Amino acid sequence: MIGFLIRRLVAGIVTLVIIAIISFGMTRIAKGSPFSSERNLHPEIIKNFEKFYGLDQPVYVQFWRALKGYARLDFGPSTMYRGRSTNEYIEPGFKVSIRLGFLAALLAIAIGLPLGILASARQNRPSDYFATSVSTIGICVPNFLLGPLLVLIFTNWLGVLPSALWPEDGSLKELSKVILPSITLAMVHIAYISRLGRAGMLDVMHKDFIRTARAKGLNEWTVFLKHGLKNGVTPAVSYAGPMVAGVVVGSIVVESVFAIPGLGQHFIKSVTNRDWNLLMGCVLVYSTIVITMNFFVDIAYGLLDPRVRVH
Amino acid sequence: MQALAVQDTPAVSRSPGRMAMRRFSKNRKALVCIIILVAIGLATLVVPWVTRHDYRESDWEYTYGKPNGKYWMGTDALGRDLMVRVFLGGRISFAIGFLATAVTVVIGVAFGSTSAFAGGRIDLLMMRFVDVLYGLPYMLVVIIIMGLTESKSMLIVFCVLGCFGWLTISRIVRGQVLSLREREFVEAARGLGVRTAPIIWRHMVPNILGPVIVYTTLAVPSFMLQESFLAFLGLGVPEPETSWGALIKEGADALDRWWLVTFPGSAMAITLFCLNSIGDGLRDAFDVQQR
Repeated sequence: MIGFLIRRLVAGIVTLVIIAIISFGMTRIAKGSPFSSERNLHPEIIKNFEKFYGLDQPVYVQFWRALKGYARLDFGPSTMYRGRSTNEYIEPGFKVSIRLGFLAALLAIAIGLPLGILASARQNRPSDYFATSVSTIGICVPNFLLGPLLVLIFTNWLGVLPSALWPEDGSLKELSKVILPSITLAMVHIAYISRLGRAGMLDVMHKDFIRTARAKGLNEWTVFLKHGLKNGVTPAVSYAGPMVAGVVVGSIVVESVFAIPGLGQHFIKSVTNRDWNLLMGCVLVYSTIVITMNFFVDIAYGLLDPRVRVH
Repeated sequence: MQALAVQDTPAVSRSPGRMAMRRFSKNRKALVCIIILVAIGLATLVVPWVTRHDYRESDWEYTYGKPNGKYWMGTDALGRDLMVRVFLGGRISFAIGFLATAVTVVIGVAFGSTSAFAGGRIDLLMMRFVDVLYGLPYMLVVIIIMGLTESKSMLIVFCVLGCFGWLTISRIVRGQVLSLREREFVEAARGLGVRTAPIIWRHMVPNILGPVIVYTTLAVPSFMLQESFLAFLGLGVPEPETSWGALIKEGADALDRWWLVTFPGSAMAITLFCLNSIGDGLRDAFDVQQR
């Protein structure tokens, strides 16, 4: 198990370094500099700017400096918001985004898993059809379409829920702002988890050891909970890794739909404004979340299924 | 005598491919979906061509117009006919979905089979490479590339998507090749003195085809989705060209004009539904374990 953990950890760090190299390389290859929008700037001034931000150095020096900064969690000065550090934007954005993502992941598991299990227990009956329809909608209506549709229904037509922004305090009215974005972000994962849960449970409940348990005279609930559930939900558990990546990427678009001041907004802005430091900061924060969560999922899976550890 | 009579009846081909096709043809939902999908596909080709509206032409008297007899799906902020733009956007979505899939299948099959045939240290190295890329949230990189390239054309969109999406298929192909190599019929063919090339062509390829076809049909909707995702963020094909993601974005920005989001949205949802149903149907049909 220890060897398995170390291998996974090394792979994670390698991935992170590769992402840093790719993104850093992309920003230096790309046309257009952070100062190109201000065309009336004197070339001398641009040179001074570049000197200030260290952009006049060779690329490998820049990268090395940046890496040293990242190790101290310092992502450098922003070129878009002059005189400010990118950390001032990344930290509050990260706090909002992580809450949104966590809420969505929680919703996905809390709704998706029971839905899938219910569907499997009531196969080919109304509740199964209901669960299957929900998961079909989740898969066919992507988040960037679902968000506007939910706003259209719940804000424009029914007028019951706010359409945008993020809570600023703990009052009920403010907190209701999280409902639509977190459902929008969670929907596709509710769909996949309930699908996997249903398929996994159906598969397991037809296995020999379930028949044995029933033949022993155990009551149906014990068979279902102790023998079925434990084995049936493993496919859904293995979906946790892809789900984290999906929530991270999805949050970018959901934040844009609901005008939530999260990391995603800064990320998209940093790309269009060529704010290299902010861009690198966002990418590294996102990647670290995904890689860390994948690491934990791997551990969980290694504990559940000993065969994985050998690989 | 009875046995002889049975043998005389013409032999029905029972190749895995045909059996899968027979199972698939019984799947009514998937067949209906194929018909709908073909209809939408044809409409994206034909509608912009036969309609009297041009997708760039503005009717300044009727901006943000409700659907009516002249404009069946209404008009957008610039008074352009939405129906033409929905079907034209579909063209881009379809094209990118299929082309990106083609790119991934070519790269993935080549990489996966090379890795499996090379074996040993090269195989290990190639698969470690795939493992590392697998942990990489590649949409982030795609967003950066799309955001940083000045000239956004369809070519760039599907190349970028295709270049990052081949990992799954390379794993599938490698796994298939490795397990097929050990199977009895391949061993038998080798024992009979069949050379490598015919073994690959006659025995390996037909057996790998099933998973590849299934993967391909399920990859198309996921690429369409990714393209629309990028377009929604403003990183897709440039104006006045459009795609479903871009249209949905325009609709989302003007929600009180419900038609702007519902028409492109339903086009996209129906297409995704059909493609996913066909993919699921094919997976059930090709699934060896269910036989």
